Amino acid sequence: MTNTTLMIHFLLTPDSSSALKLKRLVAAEGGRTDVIVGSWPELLVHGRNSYILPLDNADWLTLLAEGVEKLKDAFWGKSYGNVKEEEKNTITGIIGEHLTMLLEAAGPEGKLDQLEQLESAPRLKRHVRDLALLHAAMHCALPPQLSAIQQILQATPERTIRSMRVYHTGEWLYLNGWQEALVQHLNGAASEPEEPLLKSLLESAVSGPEGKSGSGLRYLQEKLFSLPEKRALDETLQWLVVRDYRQEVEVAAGMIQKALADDNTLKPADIALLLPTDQHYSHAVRSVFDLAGLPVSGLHDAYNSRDLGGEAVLNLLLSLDKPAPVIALASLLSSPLMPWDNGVGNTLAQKIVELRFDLTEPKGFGAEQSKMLFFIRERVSNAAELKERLKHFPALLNRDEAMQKHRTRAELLCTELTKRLEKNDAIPWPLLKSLVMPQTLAAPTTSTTTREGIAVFYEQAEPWRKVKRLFVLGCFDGHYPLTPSGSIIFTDTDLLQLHEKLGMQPDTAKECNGRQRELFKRQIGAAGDEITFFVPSRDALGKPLSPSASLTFAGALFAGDGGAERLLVNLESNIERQHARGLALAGEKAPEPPRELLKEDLSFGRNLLEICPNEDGSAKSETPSRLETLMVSPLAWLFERLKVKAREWAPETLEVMTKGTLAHEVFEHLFSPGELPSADTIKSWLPELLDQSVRKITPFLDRQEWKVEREHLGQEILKAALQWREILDKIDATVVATEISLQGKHDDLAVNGNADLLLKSGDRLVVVDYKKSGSTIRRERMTLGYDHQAELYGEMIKTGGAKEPAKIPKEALQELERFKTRGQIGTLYYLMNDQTVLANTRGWLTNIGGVEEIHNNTAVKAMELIGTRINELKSGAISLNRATDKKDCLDNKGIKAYALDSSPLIKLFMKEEELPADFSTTTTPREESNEQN
Amino acid sequence: MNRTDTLPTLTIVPAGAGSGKTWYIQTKLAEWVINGQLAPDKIVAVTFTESAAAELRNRIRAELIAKEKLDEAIGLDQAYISTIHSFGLRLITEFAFDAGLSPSPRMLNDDEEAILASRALATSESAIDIMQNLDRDGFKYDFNSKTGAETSFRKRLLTLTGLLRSIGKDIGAEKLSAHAEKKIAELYGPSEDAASLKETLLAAVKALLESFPEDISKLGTIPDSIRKELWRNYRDLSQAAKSEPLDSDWGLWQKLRKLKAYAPGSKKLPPGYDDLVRTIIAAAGALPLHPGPMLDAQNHARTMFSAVAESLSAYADEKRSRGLVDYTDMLTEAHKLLSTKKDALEALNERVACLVVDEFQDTNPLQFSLLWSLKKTVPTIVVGDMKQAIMGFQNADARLLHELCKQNPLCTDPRKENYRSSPALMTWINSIGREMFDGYTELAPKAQFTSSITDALEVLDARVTLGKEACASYTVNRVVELLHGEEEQKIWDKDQKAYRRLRGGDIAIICYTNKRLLFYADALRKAGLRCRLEEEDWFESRIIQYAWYALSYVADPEDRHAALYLYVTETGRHTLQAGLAELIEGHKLQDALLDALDAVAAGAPDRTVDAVLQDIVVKLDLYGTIAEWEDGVQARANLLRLQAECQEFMRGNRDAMACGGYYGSDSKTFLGWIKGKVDRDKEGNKQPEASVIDDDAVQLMTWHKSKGREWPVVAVCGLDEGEFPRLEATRVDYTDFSDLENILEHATAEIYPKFKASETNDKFKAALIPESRESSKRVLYVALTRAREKLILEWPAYLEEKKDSGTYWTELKTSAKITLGVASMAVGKAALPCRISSILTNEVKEVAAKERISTLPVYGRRAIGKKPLPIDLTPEAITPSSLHNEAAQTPGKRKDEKYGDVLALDIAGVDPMRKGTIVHRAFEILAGHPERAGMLSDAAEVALAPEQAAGIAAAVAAFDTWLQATCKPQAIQAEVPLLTLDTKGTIVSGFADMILETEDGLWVIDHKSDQVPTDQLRDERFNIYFPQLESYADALGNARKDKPVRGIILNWVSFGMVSVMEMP
Ligand code: SF4
Repeated sequence: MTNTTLMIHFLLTPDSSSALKLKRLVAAEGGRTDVIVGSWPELLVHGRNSYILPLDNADWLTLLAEGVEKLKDAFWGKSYGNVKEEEKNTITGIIGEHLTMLLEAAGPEGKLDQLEQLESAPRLKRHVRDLALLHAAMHCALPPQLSAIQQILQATPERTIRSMRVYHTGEWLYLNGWQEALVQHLNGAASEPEEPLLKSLLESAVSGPEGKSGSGLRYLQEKLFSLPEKRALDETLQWLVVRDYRQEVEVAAGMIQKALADDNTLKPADIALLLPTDQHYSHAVRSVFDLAGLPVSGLHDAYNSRDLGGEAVLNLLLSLDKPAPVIALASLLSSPLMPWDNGVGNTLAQKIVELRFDLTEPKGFGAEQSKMLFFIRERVSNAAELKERLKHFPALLNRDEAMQKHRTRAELLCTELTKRLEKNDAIPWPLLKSLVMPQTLAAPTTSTTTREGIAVFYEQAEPWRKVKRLFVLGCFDGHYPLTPSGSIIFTDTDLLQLHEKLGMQPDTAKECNGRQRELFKRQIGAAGDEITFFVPSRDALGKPLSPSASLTFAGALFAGDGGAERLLVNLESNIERQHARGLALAGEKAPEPPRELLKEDLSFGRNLLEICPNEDGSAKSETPSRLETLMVSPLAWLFERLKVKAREWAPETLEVMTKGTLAHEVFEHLFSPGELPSADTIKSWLPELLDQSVRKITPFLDRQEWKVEREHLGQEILKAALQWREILDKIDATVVATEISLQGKHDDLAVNGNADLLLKSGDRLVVVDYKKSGSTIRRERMTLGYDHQAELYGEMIKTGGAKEPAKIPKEALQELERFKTRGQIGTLYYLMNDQTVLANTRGWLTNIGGVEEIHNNTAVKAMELIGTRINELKSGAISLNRATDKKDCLDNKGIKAYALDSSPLIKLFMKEEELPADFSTTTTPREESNEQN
Repeated sequence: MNRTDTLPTLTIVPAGAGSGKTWYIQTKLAEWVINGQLAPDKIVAVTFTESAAAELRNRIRAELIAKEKLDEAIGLDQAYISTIHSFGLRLITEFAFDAGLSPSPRMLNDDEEAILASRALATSESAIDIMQNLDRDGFKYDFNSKTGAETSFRKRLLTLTGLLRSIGKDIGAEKLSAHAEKKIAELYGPSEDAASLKETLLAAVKALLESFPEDISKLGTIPDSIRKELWRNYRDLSQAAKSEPLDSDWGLWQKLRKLKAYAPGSKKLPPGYDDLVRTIIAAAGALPLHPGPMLDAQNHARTMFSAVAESLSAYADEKRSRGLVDYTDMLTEAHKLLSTKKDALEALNERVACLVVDEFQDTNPLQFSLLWSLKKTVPTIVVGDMKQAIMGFQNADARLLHELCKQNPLCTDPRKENYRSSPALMTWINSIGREMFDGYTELAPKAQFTSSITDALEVLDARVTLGKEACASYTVNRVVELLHGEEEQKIWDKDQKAYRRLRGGDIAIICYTNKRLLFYADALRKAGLRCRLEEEDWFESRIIQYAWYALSYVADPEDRHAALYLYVTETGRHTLQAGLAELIEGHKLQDALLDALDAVAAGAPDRTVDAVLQDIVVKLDLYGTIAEWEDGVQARANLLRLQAECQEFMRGNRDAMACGGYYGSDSKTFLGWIKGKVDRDKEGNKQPEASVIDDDAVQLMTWHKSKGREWPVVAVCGLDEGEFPRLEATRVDYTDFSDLENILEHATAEIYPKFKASETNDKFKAALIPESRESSKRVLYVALTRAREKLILEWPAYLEEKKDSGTYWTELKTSAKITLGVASMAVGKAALPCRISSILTNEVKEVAAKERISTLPVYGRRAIGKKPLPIDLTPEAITPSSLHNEAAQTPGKRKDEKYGDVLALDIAGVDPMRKGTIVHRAFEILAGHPERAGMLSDAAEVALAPEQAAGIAAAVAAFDTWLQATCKPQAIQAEVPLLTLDTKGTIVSGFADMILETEDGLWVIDHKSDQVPTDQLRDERFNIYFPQLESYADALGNARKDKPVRGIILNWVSFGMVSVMEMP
């Protein structure tokens, strides 16, 4: 009939890069319609397609997993029983690899049952026996690559649609028993004889030594890894030592530019780079060579991409399993998959990171956006609810075209998860989370290969072009030859035994090493004129690297004692650098000085108190803490007003501030109007109160890993509370109100602030402020007159009163009203950490241990300073800080200048250089004695 | 085969500084291999660092190659030459199944360790007891590290855990604590009856408060200077009067001992007060005799031990199930394996024929035992030097080596030569060694040069107390004189094998602490000299801040802080005033730099963070920019590290990241992660070394780090510091040393707690002093033996007057019996020439600053010229099927023809792509072979319903019929490989669906399963496919010169239609 089946000549190459080389050789001889050039996987596909074969139904992976699980007594059983689900998969994988390896070594005829031969090696015997039992338990299924071969070997003639002749050479290709059998089978049935031309093209494709005979290069290409006579090194070879991979690439690029400029017969295509497979080499080549205008050909430099879908689903689960880790929540809110733009996402995320968990809806949110926010924020109480969320979640994701694949991925995962939620009961969080494993999505391996570009060869691949000059990058230990990873079950000795006793043909590490060496020889064999090897001495993180083993062998070829190190030219050494050939050199030049920052006081020519007003246009009111910032650093005050604040993410931490908030919360409930609780009451209430505030403020403290902090905090608060109770008892005053917002005026400036507690005794009103810190600095500050806070409370009561009267009990309001005109107001700090009371009163609190009245005017200096600063702000002036301010605040004002650390810009724009910490030979004892706040 | 049994079973090689121990190992092993006594792949060698391992391997390899043993040199690839941890890891990986472990153990990171340990801690009852009483147990806020009591507690627990694990004790808390408690009682000494001591004290306190019930600090007669103190006294007295606190608050006792009182007769305090206070002081003075603190200490020790034991076992379970290991597990598990699995040990023995352990003095008891279990059956070489045992802080225990030598005197083969230092220096080193160490082995000077430098030994004799800055200024002055003085100093260059002028890079200044080095760095800079110093503040460095803010901005362009930073600092172009003015006006900051970053931000949203950073690096040409900076070399090393950190972050295991609280792979998380990383771990904030060689820079280094290094000139500085025992301390002791084989069983731990009474503390410290003196001597030995030709010694003679002994200087002077003469130094009985310069003022000595020549590197990035990339390059290879839609012009006229029915293939679960493949395969096998119809399902690799199969077969048949009728084919081939070059030399390779051969030519046939119901759609699709078909036709034309290519036929299989086009 007319449907003629031609025979295919299949030229088998080790990999795709060698195939590329051979294709050119064949094509250059004139076109062909009966030749395929390819590597083993392609042979398998085309071989298989030459027959009509039924689908292989045995599911190797499933059978394997079942078998490994079932054979509890096998050598892997104990490990398997000891580890978690994901690790079990790893074990199954390893066992599968080894079974495959054994089956491969046994060949198509092989059996795994003559184990008596292994009597002398009981451990080996046990390993082989268990793998054989596993294979039997799997009904002798074969791994896909072997089963495909087996099918072809067993195919009947009527299923043959075409014949194929395979050409290969042992010089660059190693075939195992199965592969040999397949090749023989195909060739046995080939309808046409071998074509000598094709055979010779194939042989000529194996990179032979291209170096000119007599040259050092040729000598290296031929004799590396052997022990010939020594000879002198010539100009065809050099080994350059540089610091790191990037410098290798930079120096190579410079040398290539120079070489091309110096020799106009040389073209980029006459040059090749040989690179380790590590991606960072490829990325560096892309950026450096692009910059240098040097085209490269065959570079794999695509980046992997993020698994946005997987991350979104995992983070959703994490967010719903309360307490949600803040970064998971933040990362989800700012994911590009969210149905809102980046800015909105980042703002929401920032709130979470600052532990403000009330995710209120931003203005202008549409229905879907609200729904998504609701989905993320609200907890789910059972499996049904979670199922519902997972069902609708994917549909709410960003509809952008570019997000398609991520949406699909999220959808798949959600479906997968819903399947595990059939029953409507407790949610198996750990299981669900383990099902979602975000992975970086591997970059496509395609690369642009051009005829004109500098060829890029990779360490694991055959070279695909002859070149004049070769630059070998990454000659450090473990590369050239690449160190193969051995088997963890069979040692080389085991493998040799399998060969000797059972006639198997296992691949030993030794042979593998040998093949790597041969590959390296073929790679360097591709160069005709010269090779430069680069030896990096540090990795990217700065850790030392040792030179490649091939260097020692190269050292043996070329004369000179002192070993292989004599071959190395370290570019960092001025003397040695003179010996480097073809190095591109830049002119000497003085360094660019860093830009001088202008550190002059600022002036904006407008009233800075009026900028960023309230929504109604009124000027923002100040608080004691903002005024403290103003005292310490007007620039920090301005940053605060302009909302210029670092938007950094950090996992949950228990800051001193947060501890204080928790303690305040507990105190608020313990010491409220009414009877003073007894010591025993305090002890019994405290745990529950602390629990409550933890749930509200720092839910993460409930996790096990925070136990120490939690217990310690409880203990600290208890100690402080008991002592405070004792003091209150002795003070003989009644509690008027707790947690009360006050507002009033300081001169013409609106101020507001919260008082922790109001105490009344006759016509004396005491504003109490709890501080989660020690007393040393506060005492100092009061003594020095820099305690503005106490004074401000008094002023607020006198000039204003309660900020939200509606929220305050009537009696308290009455008292506040009364003290506007009558009576005395004092302020008292209770310093929880050393249980000390400091008050600005005189003679109100006598003879109580641990209570101290400091009755000079504790605020006079502070008020002066605030006045000055306010006037500056009004005139639009901001004076910058000085390097000495931190110390000055502490020593002369009793203020810890936290505001200076609120942005690195403040430090950068200090008027003098700050002394490096290491030079302040002694830290003042005072500085040491006062901790937190 | 190999005659392993001819090897000595044990060789101990004590090797003093510079005695060539690596050379010894390398030649010894090579010798054995060459003699056929040892197979190279059966060597196990344990070294201290990975690079030492690599070097040893290379050197043995070179030795074997030099001896023409090629196979052996190659066989060395299989030898285990590594650090002991890698060795342990390899064992537990290779024998994972024997040990019941995960075969792919993952090293857990710091975050994971912290979290898993914290969780384990929460399960320990004993730990909870401490947590609830952190104050009682003395855990406080630490001002140096700025960490809270919780962290101190965790740290202490971790230290103890490390110590216990280093002696293989993860269980058996009772036995350990019994020993520790006994030790505490022993050192504490006798005590008296608690009740009566308290009674006396309480009575005294009450007596005072009865007479003075009020706080006397407020009295007008009190001098201001003591008011505060009296206020505190009153508070403490009130506290004590409650009675109960005196039962447990030893701090209060101690405070009562320090109450303010004046000598009798003083009128400063109210009459009678002083006497009453003195009674209290006397009563409280019994604190050191009170049994309470001791019982508390014992209780504390007990609780700590059980807390460790309890949390360790929970921690171990968790790790095992996650397949995680830490450094210690690598050893513990390996040790367990070798001591309990006979199989494994046997299997290992087959693979090991010789064990070499380098730096043996630095092994800890656990490492010792692990090695020992191998040593039992394998010939072993142990190399080490007691005098250089300085890794005690890592729980290394030099007593083990000492004991080993003692028990095996006949197996020792000490090195007796020195290849490092000049004879003059060696004489001095030998004298020092003789005095300082028992049984010191003299080293004969064998270095192959004669030093021409003046004064091998030099002392800077400070007679007056010197500040650190002044101290540094004198030493640096000497360095400057040596480098630039009138008398040119020549040294021997080991690499070039020649004498040459002394350069900065030949000199090292070494100190005990890192901090101290900063003074020298500063002095050197002032003198215009460059220096190399491992510097901190990587994160704070200029380039990292730049990149960090740039990345922050890209991640969140609304981050006004980042924008302002980039706008007004060195990276930007504007003033702070200008930036803020814009913000005050409510404007967004705008600038070329920010525009560039906006462009980066607009890139693909699923880029990984390393890709984003790379975009920034390229867009801002960061490497190009910093290449021009003064500290550009360091900056590029720093930036490179940041890029590598991105990759670490991407590679980081999800679980591990989650343990640190980091989720997601976005840039913001990365930014937080990297900042957290350097915050948590000071080591992590070191700047990577900018270069490996720097000819002119003086090396600054700590004594510890200098171990194993050498320089022509070394200045040993900072001898005024010292090692002083600090409480709380922990230490290992052995109940019995004779049984090295089971040494772990005899190892036990002791806790030296901190008490309130200083007398008690002194007793405990005294017990630790002998060991700390030994350790001082050893670290001195290391420091003093680094020089090849000249040693400069800072000599803080002023310390003579200070009572505080225990400085390195005191130790050196006393133990080596040193006295200085005019131009000589006496060491014991020997007197050696020595240049002595006396320092008589404590002012900083100025140095005339040399003109600083700072040139930028001449090779690397700066040597690259920026050039545009060439465009329009020719592809190396193409496949026609990838050629689509290149706005093709179809040259000929197309004729469409219907040959069969519509083929609607609807197979469940099969997508259109796959459907296309099935149809192609059907045409391939059925065209001309209708008899194969039965195998269609097999060929399609999918189960086809009979009517589906029939439909397909009918379609193929219809096509066949049309072909036969219309084209009169001579031959038809399916799936034809085409391989050829096109006119530009590009390789064209691919498969044509069919090639049809007629009498007068060839046709290319392509099957397409597109949905093309309308003419217009068919037009469109045809045009899209045309380039591909044309390429097949060209290729075919190239390959088959025998006949012309007539045209192309597109078979629209789903519609039973063909489009035929003749090529012009
Ligand atoms: S002790 Fe462990 S971690 Fe340290 S250098 Fe040796 S192997 Fe590496």
